Amino acid sequence: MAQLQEAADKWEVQLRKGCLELAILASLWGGRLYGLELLRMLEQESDLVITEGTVYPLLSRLRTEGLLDAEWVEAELGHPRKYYRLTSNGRRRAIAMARIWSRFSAKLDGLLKPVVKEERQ
Amino acid sequence: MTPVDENIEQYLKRVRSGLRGLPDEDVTDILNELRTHISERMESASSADVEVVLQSFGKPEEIAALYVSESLIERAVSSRSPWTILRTLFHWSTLSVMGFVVLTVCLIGYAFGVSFFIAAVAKPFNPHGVGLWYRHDPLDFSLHLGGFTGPSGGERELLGWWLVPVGFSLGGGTILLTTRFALWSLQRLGRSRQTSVSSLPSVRQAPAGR
Repeated sequence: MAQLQEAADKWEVQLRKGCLELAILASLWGGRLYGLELLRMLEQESDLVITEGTVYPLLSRLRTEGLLDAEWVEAELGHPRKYYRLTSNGRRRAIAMARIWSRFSAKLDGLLKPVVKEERQ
Repeated sequence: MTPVDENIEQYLKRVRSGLRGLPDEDVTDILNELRTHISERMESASSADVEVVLQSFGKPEEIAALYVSESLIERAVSSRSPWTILRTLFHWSTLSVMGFVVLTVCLIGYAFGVSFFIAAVAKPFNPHGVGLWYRHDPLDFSLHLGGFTGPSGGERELLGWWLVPVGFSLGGGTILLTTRFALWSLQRLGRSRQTSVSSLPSVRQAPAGR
């Protein structure tokens, strides 16, 4: 039983990782965010908890891919922060990924209905 | 500097040493961003323990390695310079067996290409010393690109002055082909990085009961 649970946990981690890029693009949909804000948003809205420092290399890659823009902004109090925003390519990518996701998850939900029903009984 | 600051700088130093090979301005930018994050974390918690904050931030070497692989591949592919490509391959070879194999193939390819190129350039300056020599007897067949000393006993020259055009085209061709192969491998690596989940940040499982 413990082994089954372990395998399921591993699968869950992989699944979350796979969704991370989409989750980041979606978090930035409403406007610019800096690293820590983005992490908080991910944690609250999507249950995605990341080892904090590792999000920065990913943001840097999305930037070299032209999906994000970044700029340093002086704060009134405290430190200047590096803000990220979606580029027009980033918005297009987010839309394309979201479309794939909704289509896929809707289908999968249908497939899972009997399984979930069984579990409830 | 307070002991806490010192702790943070010590941590960032470890990131910095992992970022070797990246342009200076990129390194400064990365370290500034990480420093901002860590300081803000320290300020937001009332009794923040620097050790805990740094631990949840992740291993400095791991973070640096994530940056380096992304940026090196990117630069090697866009620069197309054999030197940058070899450096990237060297980095890759320390990470995986596949990288080591590709590096070995490319080193051999470049060595072969460069030797022919040098021979073609040197031939006019030292016509009797430089050449493609071969020895053929039933027990021993050898073919080698002569250095500057000319053939050893029993060897005969192959190609003669044809070494110049052949050397240039064979040498140049091999270098070009090797570069193509290296870029192709690196691009495949780049693509697999984008899709492979293992290269993504470490995601923890959601806390139970949520």
